[in-house]
Amino acid sequence: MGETQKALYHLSIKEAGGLIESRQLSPVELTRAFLDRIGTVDEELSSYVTVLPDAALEQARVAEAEVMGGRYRGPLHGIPVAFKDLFDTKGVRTTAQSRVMEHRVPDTDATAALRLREAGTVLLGKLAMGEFAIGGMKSLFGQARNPWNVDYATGGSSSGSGAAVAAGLCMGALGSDSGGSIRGPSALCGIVGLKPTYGRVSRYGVIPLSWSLDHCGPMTWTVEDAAIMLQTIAGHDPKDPSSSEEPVPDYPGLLDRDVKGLTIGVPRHYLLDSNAGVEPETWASVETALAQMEGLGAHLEEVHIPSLEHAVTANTIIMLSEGFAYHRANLITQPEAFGDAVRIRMYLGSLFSVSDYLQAQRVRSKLKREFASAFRRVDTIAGPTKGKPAGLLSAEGADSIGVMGRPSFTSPFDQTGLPAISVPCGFTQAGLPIGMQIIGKPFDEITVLNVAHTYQQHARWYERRPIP
Amino acid sequence: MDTPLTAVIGRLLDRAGLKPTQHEIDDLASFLEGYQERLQQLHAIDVENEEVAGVFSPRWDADA
Repeated sequence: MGETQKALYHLSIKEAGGLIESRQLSPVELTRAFLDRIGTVDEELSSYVTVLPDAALEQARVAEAEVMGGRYRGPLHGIPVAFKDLFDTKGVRTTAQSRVMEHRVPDTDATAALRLREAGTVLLGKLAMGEFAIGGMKSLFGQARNPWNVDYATGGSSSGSGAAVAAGLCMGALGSDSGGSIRGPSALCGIVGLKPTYGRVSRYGVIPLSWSLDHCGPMTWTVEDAAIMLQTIAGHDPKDPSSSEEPVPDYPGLLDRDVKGLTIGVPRHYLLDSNAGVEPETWASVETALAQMEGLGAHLEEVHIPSLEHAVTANTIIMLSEGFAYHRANLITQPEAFGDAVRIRMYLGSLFSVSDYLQAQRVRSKLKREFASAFRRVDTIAGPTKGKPAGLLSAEGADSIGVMGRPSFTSPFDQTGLPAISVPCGFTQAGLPIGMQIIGKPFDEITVLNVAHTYQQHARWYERRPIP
Repeated sequence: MDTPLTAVIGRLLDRAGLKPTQHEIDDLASFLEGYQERLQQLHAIDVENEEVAGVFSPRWDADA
């Protein structure tokens, strides 16, 4: 199989998939390039908690034999991927980065992991994360570092997924998102992260944080790659009670629409509230991106969502109450096995009343109705993914429960279940990435993907890489 | 520090079978004091006839 000009670890899934299909690129050669890259770069980044060199090379050899034998499975065949360490992987330790599950080895795959396996992907390993998708710095393994500047954090909780994709340590990753854990690290690490509609991707085999808020989705370098991964992992799963039977469209095939005539709603009343804390540099990048989309033919319109200001409170109550219910037995029998941040956040979850929880769920329903009303006038809603860029790693974890009250632009879409993507939209003066979030109607991932893809192809931030 | 709020928190956690340190109880009390206003605001929202959308289904799974 032949050579390509770009470093193999900087190819997109789309590019590598095309080369594998045409037999110009060997899955074994590609996998070796990623394993070598992990060996040289990840000591500093700590994005992986488990690397599987032997198993990955064996999977790559199988993929290569299949391709050469005319049994090409599709655009993910032979593509090296990695999963946040809460996706169950058969025979491979899956810990949620907690001492509570330090020796846990599942005997089945999570549905999303299984679907990627069946698509012929090569599993490079498991990725670092905030403990139990909510934890701070003290956990079973070290915390991932931001490839754009290793003194800075990646955001959480899919921290390793964000760092690994950005640094070219895997071509695509799986993350989970209950308050922004796919989109946050994606924004802070300068990659694309898609939280699909609730129910679109199975949660089966994914260690839960909050059953009614948990979403799973792809984290990739390009929007096109996110569409390719979503195509494989989306779809009904009888093993997940919240899984939707909504038909799955051809995401990559429909990624050909522009933004002409689309109306993009901007909830400025919420984003620019003095309590929201959006830094001027972040807002300027998002405003520039919105103006560019206007230039590409979209219309911008102010949207007003009255209950947005209460969304963070409702999300905190729901997430911690459900989280406590899941962890209660272990918190009683082995509290010392939890990191300090997770333990105290779960204790807080035990203190909310049933009345608090039910009111939070009712506010959630009201919020959903308000978004439904706004979406009668607009096709998507957009704004910053995070109000500020990555913070210094040394400042992380200083406030274990205070962070629960901070404003969030991502958590309302976990509550409403709406599809939302983060796409890079610029850099700070200090060279840290800024992300823009685009939100769509339920199960309308294709519009979200198209808007993000059109913007990404126009702005071309993907040409800038953190580590050569 | 022993205050009426820390005492209540300690009793509630104890009832749940949890054994927090005094430092954790103090942190929780400090957080909840500041959070009280948010909880009041949440409960003050007029949610009209909104019902909680549960996932309960009376249908039997094929493998149940």
